[in-house]
Amino acid sequence: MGQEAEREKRLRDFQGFQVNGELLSLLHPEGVFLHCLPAHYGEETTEEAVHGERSRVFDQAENRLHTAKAVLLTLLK
Amino acid sequence: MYPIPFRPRLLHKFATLRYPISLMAGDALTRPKDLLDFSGYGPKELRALLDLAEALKRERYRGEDLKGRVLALLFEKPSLRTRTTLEVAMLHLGGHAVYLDQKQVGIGEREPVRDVAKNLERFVEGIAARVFRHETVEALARHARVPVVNALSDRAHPLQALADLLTLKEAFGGLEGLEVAWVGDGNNVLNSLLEVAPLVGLRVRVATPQATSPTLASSSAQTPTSPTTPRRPPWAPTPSTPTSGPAWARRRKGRSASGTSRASR
Repeated sequence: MGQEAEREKRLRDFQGFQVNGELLSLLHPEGVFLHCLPAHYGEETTEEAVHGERSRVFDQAENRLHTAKAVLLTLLK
Repeated sequence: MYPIPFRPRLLHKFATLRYPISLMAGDALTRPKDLLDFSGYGPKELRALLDLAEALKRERYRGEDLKGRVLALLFEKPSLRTRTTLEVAMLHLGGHAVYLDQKQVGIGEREPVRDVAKNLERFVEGIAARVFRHETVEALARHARVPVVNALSDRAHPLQALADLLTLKEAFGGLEGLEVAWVGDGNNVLNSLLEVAPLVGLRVRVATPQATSPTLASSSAQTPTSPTTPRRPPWAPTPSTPTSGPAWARRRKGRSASGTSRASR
């Protein structure tokens, strides 16, 4: 990952599929935005999306801890 | 505890916030040994996992349930969230994690997967592995008698899917009937979301630039069928609708969310 040629291709591939403010404006009024991270700003998404008011991305990241705990408790106990 | 085969299911049905976290962890006799993907997991297991995660979060849980237990973390690829949350989770439960860097272990190169498994099961109570090939974590699970958790493979990322579900459940008060749009790279994260969706009543629509995913399973997904043409999202307007650039029709009413991700990590 990270090679320039690959990045160029990715930018072309993601044309029209970037989740940004414009796309999110079409979301249901109560809809939320999630992203598993890491984010590559300008490629599949934008700062506006990840750090905007529809975003639950960082709650989502925190929930990695609580679900990991639930899995480990369930499997290892 | 209880003599086998008596199981505290009735108690669990009426479990409230006050019910001990340790007893919410489920029945040792029926749960799957591993979490490689969601095969072997049904709606009941998903509900139990999510309820437990919610309770753990609400109570900012710290306990000694896994005191003295050790989880081996075997990572072929970099990680921030997965490694950190698995280590912290073990600490919060009274246990410990040992991180094994692939450069040191050389699984499949320095030493065959089977041998690694048959060694680790003697040292630790569980293994979490982030691997390039899903076959590697499957082999670990097959040869190690301890639980194996897939911390991401080319085919699946079940831990991420669980966190996604918990977040949606929190945002909307439940999962049944929710509609999620996946926009972007079709990948391991999408695979797991598609796999788990029917188990919790989630509906997933997919829009990917091209056939980037190894396998797209699950009948709950709507995917464009042509692998060669750029895929328009399912809600994109027909050619007769005037557009400038990719214009997106209003999604039909109902709670919805959108998720995206980039190429496999």
